[in-house]
Amino acid sequence: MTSAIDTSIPVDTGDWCGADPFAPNFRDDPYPSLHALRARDPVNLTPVNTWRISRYDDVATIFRKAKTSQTLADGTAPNFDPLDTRGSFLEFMLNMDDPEHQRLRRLAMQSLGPNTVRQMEDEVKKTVEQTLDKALAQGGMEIIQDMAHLVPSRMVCQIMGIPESDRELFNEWTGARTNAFFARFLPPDVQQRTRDAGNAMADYFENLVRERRGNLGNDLISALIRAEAEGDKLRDGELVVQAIGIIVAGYETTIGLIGNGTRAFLDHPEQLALLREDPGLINNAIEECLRYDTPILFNWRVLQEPFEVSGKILPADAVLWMMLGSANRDPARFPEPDRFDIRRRDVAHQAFGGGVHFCLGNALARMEARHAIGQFALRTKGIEIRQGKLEWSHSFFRVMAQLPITFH
Amino acid sequence: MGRIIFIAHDGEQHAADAQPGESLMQCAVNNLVPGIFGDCGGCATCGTCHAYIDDRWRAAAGEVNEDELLILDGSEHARPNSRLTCQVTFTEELDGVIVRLPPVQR
Repeated sequence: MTSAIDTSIPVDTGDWCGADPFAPNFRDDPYPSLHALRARDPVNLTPVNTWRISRYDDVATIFRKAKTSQTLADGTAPNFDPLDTRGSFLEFMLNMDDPEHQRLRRLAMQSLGPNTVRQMEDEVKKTVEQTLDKALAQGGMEIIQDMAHLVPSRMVCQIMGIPESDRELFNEWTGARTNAFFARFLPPDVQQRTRDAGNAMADYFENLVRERRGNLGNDLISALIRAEAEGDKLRDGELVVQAIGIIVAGYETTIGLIGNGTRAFLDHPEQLALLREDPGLINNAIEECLRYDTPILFNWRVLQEPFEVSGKILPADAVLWMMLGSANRDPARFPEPDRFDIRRRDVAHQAFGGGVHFCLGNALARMEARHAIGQFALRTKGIEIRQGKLEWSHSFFRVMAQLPITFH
Repeated sequence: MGRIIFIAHDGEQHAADAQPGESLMQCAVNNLVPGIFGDCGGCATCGTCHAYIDDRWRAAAGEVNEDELLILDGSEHARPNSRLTCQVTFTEELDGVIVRLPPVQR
């Protein structure tokens, strides 16, 4: 695919190079344009004065070696909508630097670490089993609603202490709220929907925190309240923002992993057959799903000092968009990068980001996907599966709203 | 300069030259030792550089820190001598250290 790209065309500064991530149809199939961008201008100055880093090695090097922040030197957020204030991610741990980030991350890890993953595993298995029982009885399913959305949303609500009866309130809110990460560059109607979701979620969590203060449980919200009582001071607003950020991260990324991963298998029935023949491939298969169709196409860092990337010296305060989806398809790193191959030997992708902000829910997401996709493969053995019409969601992430299938 | 012996779960050995001051994870990654990934780059956030330090060198490797505990506590393959190798700095006292790898990292 990359060999046909003309790399001799000079690149002016401030060019999307045919890969505008805000274009309405970009999500349909971003990979040809990401290949073209990487080949033509791997360290690309965009029209909105940010730098897109597209090569795997450059992305990995910056995550590991560059001195970076999440905000500009003046403390402002480079990608956020300045009018998006209530429930803003400004104080979310993902947008903070150490030591503040580390303090919040440690608190959250107590509820999202390996112990939690092990405790949740039986619940995940049971949820997937029930949804597949129903799907097989009725001759089909809606991959997103019935599985990709159901599994992570049920688990993250349990972890956070959100009653199951409230779970569906978040269906629209979490998707809409992902846009806050890059809202400065989005159309006014999307900005408004994003702010509305921030207000609604802040209202919800302010109430929940108030209620929970008098009735602490064994959940993440209670853990944050307890930390506050033990002197690890979290202001009300700060606590609410962590809750909003964690639920968005816990929902949207894993919907993307399970949804896009299942779709990759449906598009490659020979790989589905391989997994059925050798279920032991599931761990590597999930890594390949993360590489092949990465749920978050890009995230960001801000350089705190000049840094050389592929021969270009980028200045301090340069805003870097780390093109995870491009890095994971870089032919210099992965042979035949557009091939979905669950037996790929070296599948060390960048889907979870890197450095101090490496996704803290990665073990939970992997476990959920392992059971969802693994059981789906085994229980649909011998069944012909037909895909219906795919629809993308309102999420800024690479997340579908619908992928219906029927069994024959 | 010193040596680290990495032993994979299947028994395969990889000896690597190590520089004082670098982490055991960094040494493994620089020497392409299979089974140590270091996805996060050494921040004790991903847990993909987990290994067991042979008893003889445990004291020299130092104490497990708070961030490591959060990753290791409850992990299926954690043992009393588990460490995240990104948090262990190579020193002369660790020359010849034997580092055994768990069956899986992720």
